Amino acid sequence: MARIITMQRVPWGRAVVPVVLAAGLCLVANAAWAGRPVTLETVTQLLVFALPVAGIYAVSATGLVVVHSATGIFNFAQGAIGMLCAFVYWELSVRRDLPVWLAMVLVVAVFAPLLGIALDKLLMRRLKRAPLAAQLVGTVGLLIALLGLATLTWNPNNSYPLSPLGGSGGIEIAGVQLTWHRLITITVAILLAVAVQLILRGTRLGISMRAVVDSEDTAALYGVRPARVSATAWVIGCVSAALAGILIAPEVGNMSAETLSLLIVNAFAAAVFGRLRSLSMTYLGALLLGLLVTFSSTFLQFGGRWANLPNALPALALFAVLLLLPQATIRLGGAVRTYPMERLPSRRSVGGGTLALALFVLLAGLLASDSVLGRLVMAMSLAIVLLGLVPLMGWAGIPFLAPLALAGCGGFFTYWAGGSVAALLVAGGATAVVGVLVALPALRLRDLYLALSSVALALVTASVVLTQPEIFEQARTLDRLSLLGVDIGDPARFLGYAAVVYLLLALTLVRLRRSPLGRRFVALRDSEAAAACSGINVARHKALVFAIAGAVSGIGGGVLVQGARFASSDQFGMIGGLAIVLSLTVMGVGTVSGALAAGLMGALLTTLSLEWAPGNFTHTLELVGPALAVLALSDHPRGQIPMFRELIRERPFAFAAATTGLAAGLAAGIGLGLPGSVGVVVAVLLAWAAVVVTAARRDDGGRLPADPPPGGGQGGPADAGTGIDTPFTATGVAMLDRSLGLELERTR
Amino acid sequence: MTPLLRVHDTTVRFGGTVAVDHVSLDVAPGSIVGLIGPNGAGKTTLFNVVAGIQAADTGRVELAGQDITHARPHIRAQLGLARTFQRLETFGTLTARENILVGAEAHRGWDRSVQPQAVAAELIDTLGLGPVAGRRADSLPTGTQRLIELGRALAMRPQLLLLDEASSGLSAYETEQTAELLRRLAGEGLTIVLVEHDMSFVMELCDRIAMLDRGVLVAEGTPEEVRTVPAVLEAYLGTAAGGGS
Repeated sequence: MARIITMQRVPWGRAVVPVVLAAGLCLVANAAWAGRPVTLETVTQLLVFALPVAGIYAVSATGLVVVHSATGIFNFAQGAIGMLCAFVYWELSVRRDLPVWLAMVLVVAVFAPLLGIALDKLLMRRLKRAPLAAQLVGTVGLLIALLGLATLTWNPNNSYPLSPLGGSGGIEIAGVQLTWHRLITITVAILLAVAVQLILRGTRLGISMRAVVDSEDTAALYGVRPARVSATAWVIGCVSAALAGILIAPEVGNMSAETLSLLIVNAFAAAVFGRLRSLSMTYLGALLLGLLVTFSSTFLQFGGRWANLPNALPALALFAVLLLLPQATIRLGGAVRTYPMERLPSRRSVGGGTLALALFVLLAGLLASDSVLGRLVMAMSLAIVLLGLVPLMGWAGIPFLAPLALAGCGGFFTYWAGGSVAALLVAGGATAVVGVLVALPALRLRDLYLALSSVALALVTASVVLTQPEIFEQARTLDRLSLLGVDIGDPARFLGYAAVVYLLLALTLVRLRRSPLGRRFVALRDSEAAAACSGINVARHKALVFAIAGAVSGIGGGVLVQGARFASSDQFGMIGGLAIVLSLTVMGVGTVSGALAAGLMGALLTTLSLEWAPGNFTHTLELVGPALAVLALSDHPRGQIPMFRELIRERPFAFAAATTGLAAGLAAGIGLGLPGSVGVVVAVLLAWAAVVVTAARRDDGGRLPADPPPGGGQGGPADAGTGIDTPFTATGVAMLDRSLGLELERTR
Repeated sequence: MTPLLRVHDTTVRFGGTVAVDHVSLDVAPGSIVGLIGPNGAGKTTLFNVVAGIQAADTGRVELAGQDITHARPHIRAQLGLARTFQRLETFGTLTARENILVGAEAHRGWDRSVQPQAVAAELIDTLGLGPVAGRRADSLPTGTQRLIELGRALAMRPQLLLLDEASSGLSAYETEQTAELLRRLAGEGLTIVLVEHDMSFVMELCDRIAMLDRGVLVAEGTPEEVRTVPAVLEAYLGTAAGGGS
């Protein structure tokens, strides 16, 4: 038996990453050196500029760390909360002309804490026991919803400047002026650190926070009130976000909701540097990042193809920090919380679904306008992109939030290969290779850190990779598509083509899920340790599932650019990617129909808003849709499609009532011409009432099942008829021997 | 006779705690060896080292004469090592049948003569899992899940089977039947190492017993020999004289 024994640990492995990173940093610094001399003055300037920057990162990261430490939830919306608070502060101090101190107190001491309590009560506590992906995507939904809310309230075409605190004066240090605002920023960061450390280390509340994250149930037995702990953590998180938002807003000039929300990536890196636990390490991380960002703006100059690199620096720093973390080892100790696995679709449901899609495409081709068809083409393309996430997130449980990064690569390869139908195959193959490359660093990481690395990947791909001159620095145009000499470039035919691509891939995935490979992906998700001990090569299977995701999403990106007949980096932004992951998770990440529903949902809302029922109501609905989606997610972490499927199967009348309620709510909102947010509230309340009435009649509400009883025990219905209840007979022994191959061995 | 499993001078440290302290252990082919000891003695850690889940700080592990110290767990599985877990590690969202299929299919990966569906069907029948074969594993009681883990491990047709508290959660009758199954499998040449707290189960089933205490191998021998070792009496009866209250 000659087998190669793979080495488990490479002694020098851990040294490679820092060396490569340091070498890369030196190379970049050398190549982009602006020529500014390194003198005492420039170094002092570097430090004076870096400290306030670090202070803002640290303040924001503090909120992330506290919330994660106490609740286990990583808040992607930390920046968006800060953004919202900064806008409210602007509203009070500029538009309402309140004194700065009063506006500050109202935002930091009243609005932010109330927001924290509301978020905790309405959303986060309901997500607490949800699977990691649902938690992450829930906060992503919050991020998108807050962006929508800000856009709705503060017209992005207007200007929102904020003056620095303390005016334009300041103090001079070694010839460099440190403004009052920046001095205040540094002071706030230090005071916040001291205050939070005192709370965490020196109070019962702090100890309770640490106890709750270890075991909420056990902590509750000792008198800790988890609800209060969780609310307090969210209050601290929101206050930190508010402080960071208000402090950073004057530094960016005119406030933009998206810019302010995305500045948080810097804080991600700082928080990860502290392993989301240690505040002192988080502050050190923030300081290093502040130095890196300021060093880049002070001594380096990027131009040409690297002009966007400074924007991607925080994401690169995050990626670097993640790579410096110790390599994830195989986890023992029971399976993680997972989605209930969906039933494998029967041949009948697959056939029915295929027919329904064909009918839908046919009717749309005959009846819909070109603009609606264009949106449906886009929806179908995104559905294909999202199909790639079904095996990756849905089966293998790998939280990956950058589907559009893979789609962007697919779009480029499709363009590069001529944009034809055959080019999709090239795109699929090449993006599968990209998927494997993405998997290589991902093999080191797990769960939240893996999700964060995918966010970094999305940012870097959109801002640095796809903007290269050879790729999409300028938008590329593609020829009208034809297949075997037949023009399929018009929207109706292209929709049919995209639907066929979707169906082929979806059916392939369904078949894959039924196969041993599909089972192994699920096994990996449920218990990596047991999978490895059952002979499954964990690294190879992770790389394989990334390759499959890359191939499918790459083809989706190809169809996207074929349908649009142009390709640009703007089509593959990070926020767009997060939004479609949110849609998929809400619809059901483990099902191929969830991907289609997620793609169509966006098209439906946009069409409602722009064509079928234009007006304030549907516009508002489109913007606050993500918030509603998050609420839906918190109630049904496994997704709406599985929930509806179960409802149709088990309680068809309840399903009809819920659907009627939803339709009635929408009709009321649209038909009565209610003003924006009022209309949405009325519509949602109507729909909600119908759903609540029906949900109350259901047994499990589609929620996650309770954890299996610890220790299980004997007895109960599940035990009936199971286990070894008859002695072994000679026949049974012979059958077992045959199946285990023992008979063969005995006769040798 | 060359031992099938050889653990040589193995040490595992978790920070300042020495979980396994220079342990050496040989397991002969076809034998059943019980690993006993109080909670925290290092039994499961030693299992994890043998299975490749936990890297040892020092020492060497050999399986059938091959040094597998640095082999990844799936390679050890391919070499004929299967295990169950102290804390259940079933594939919770897969059905009981699929759990066992995963083991059989993994084995088929390196032995094309295996018919996974047939192997799974036979094991389901043997272990009495028929009524729950189509149900999600994590919806089943602990005892049933232990049987699923056992079935999954057996489906790999291992040379060496590591059982971590296999009788925990089983009824008295199931425990008895499991013991009989294991005895018979050992008779057919399967080597079994089991961690157990049920001393009567261990004493009746095992050919040899090794006892760990605070990471140190304090006794090893036949059940009769180990039964009289003062350290064992101390650990299980609270007195070296054997006359505990």
